[in-house]
Amino acid sequence: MAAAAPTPRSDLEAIFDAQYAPIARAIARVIRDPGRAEELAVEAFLKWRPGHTTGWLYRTGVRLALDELRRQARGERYRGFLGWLRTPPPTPEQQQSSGEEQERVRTVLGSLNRRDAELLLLRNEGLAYSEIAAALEMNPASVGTLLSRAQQTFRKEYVRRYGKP
Amino acid sequence: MENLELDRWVEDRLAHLTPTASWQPDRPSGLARLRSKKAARRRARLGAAASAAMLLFTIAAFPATRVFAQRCLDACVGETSLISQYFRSQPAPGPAPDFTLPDASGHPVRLSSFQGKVVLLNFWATWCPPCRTEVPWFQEFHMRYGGDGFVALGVSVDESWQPVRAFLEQTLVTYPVMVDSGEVAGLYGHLKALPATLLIDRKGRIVKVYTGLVERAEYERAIERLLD
Repeated sequence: MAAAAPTPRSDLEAIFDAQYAPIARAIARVIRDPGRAEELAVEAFLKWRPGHTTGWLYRTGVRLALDELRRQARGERYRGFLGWLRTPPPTPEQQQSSGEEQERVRTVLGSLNRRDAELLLLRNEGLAYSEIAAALEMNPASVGTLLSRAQQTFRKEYVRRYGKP
Repeated sequence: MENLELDRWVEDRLAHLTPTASWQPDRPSGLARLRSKKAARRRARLGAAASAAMLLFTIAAFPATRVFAQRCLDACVGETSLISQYFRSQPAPGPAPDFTLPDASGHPVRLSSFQGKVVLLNFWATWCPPCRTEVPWFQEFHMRYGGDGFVALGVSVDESWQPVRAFLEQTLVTYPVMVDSGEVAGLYGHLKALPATLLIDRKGRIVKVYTGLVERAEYERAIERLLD
């Protein structure tokens, strides 16, 4: 009796196998909840279409993460404003990972304009200038300048909020 | 050097963003989630298409719903056309609505009596600077093209004859000018801006509508085309 032929894997599933873990990790670095990071990683793959590069996946993941970070920051502001809405207690994982410096960096990233934050995070993920340029649809020749400006903005905002470390 | 230091400083800060060491992305459950969401989206798309098809079938299948849908469609198209006409502030193309108004000496002037001629019908006011610029041009056109079958008509929307008479004497206008209390302007649609100038061909059809100050050469070109 012949064995059943394996179901052919789609392009999406092939790229999912190869890139899911790094994309989920890149997202988890920005937001503090790993479970939510995995959900957002799946969302990024659902937006993927044949022809999109790995850099595009990183950009989409990072963008979803930054949006989530801003949503969280807004939620916290409203909770603080309303007072009577109790913040849910942090999970043990959150408690473990919520180092003070980590929170500072997240706050500063969330306050930057989206392109600056994306540039910093994509570069920090190890993407080359050409990959960043393709992912953010910008001229490769200007990536260096824009990245340098984003770094200056990041440092300025960090020092303004927390002083020099 | 300074850039290198800044680069290192930022990298050091970002290095703190490390997920919990014990956590590893769960690929199999991620793949299951991906498949289930993809299937859900496909179902939603199919559901929407099926609902749309069902709705169309229901409408087309019964004469009563078909007539009702046709009426709704006609009403929508009609309303859209009325709204766009209002915002374009242009009268609908077609036959120029006829009217009769007394001129400065009290003689009735009827638009349809000029059928067979090219008519420039200008809505204007003495308090409107662009209108005051254009009136001497129209007087010149009236003189220059009069022999070829052209006539200029002015309809002032001023509140009384007094400022109109003074202006006509000053500019030596000889073509028929009337004062309208709003009825004629209403016949020609919503004239939201002045001057508003219409060119009417020899058969009495509106062929051009200009709103605001237009280049003199543009008028000349259009008149000459109609007179040919």
